[in-house]
Amino acid sequence: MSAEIEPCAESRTERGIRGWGRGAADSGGWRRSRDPIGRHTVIAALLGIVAAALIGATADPFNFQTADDQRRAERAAYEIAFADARPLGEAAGVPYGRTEWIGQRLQADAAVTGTWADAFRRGWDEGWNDALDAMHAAATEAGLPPGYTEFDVLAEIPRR
Amino acid sequence: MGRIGILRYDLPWQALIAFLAAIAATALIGYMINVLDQVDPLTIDRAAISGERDGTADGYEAGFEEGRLAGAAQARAEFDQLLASGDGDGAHRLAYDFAWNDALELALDRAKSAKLEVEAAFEQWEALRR
Repeated sequence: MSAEIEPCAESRTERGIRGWGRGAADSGGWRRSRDPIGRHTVIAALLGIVAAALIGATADPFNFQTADDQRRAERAAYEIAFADARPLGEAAGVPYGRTEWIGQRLQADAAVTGTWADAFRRGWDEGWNDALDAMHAAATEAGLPPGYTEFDVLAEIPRR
Repeated sequence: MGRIGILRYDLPWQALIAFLAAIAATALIGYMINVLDQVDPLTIDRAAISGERDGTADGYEAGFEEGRLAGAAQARAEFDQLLASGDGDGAHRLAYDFAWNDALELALDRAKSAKLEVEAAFEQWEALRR
């Protein structure tokens, strides 16, 4: 039996161990060193995972509509509608806040008198009471029987 | 293959196979997660409508509160001037309309939250707004 065919009788592991660190083929960063977990393979696998994750996160190749898309759509619609409605609310709030402040001030301070203040106080009370009367009349015209919620609510609201 | 020396070894091939296998496994897992997490377009449309409704209500409310504060500051600044103006009709109309709408709002809020009957006069009350 020649020396060339003798290694065939060895197991693969034995052959590998015997050859470790010998010759040009086993030198440098690519030699099969004593590395039981396969450093190169593990690094390559990790790079593959990172590459696939990056591609998936940026390119979205499957392009499924998922719960994340649902949240994004809801959020985007919310923000657009919020920005659109805000100026409308502000425009309605300014005259409301202005009149409300004047009314509260005149109600709190009876010492403030004069043509303007007296007329304002009169309108403050008359508008409130007339609205209650108008609502009562509207509910009656609508054919609601006595004892309905509308009448109970109107009876509970104090007149000015 | 003989021209590129590194390809003479098996580790580059093993690394390449590991790299491609990792990509394939990650893509498969990602695909399965996406499939399980998938929602139909109608659900997304509903979510968008819901977001729009909430955004409109919240935006209006936030703007209204800001405007209310601005209006109060404006009234504080011009209060003495208004008192001195002597415009009784303007003052009466301003207060009358405000109080009218305020009473309507209060009654509508209370009635809507307490309402148990089928028939209602809410539309008629809404029509009374000034």
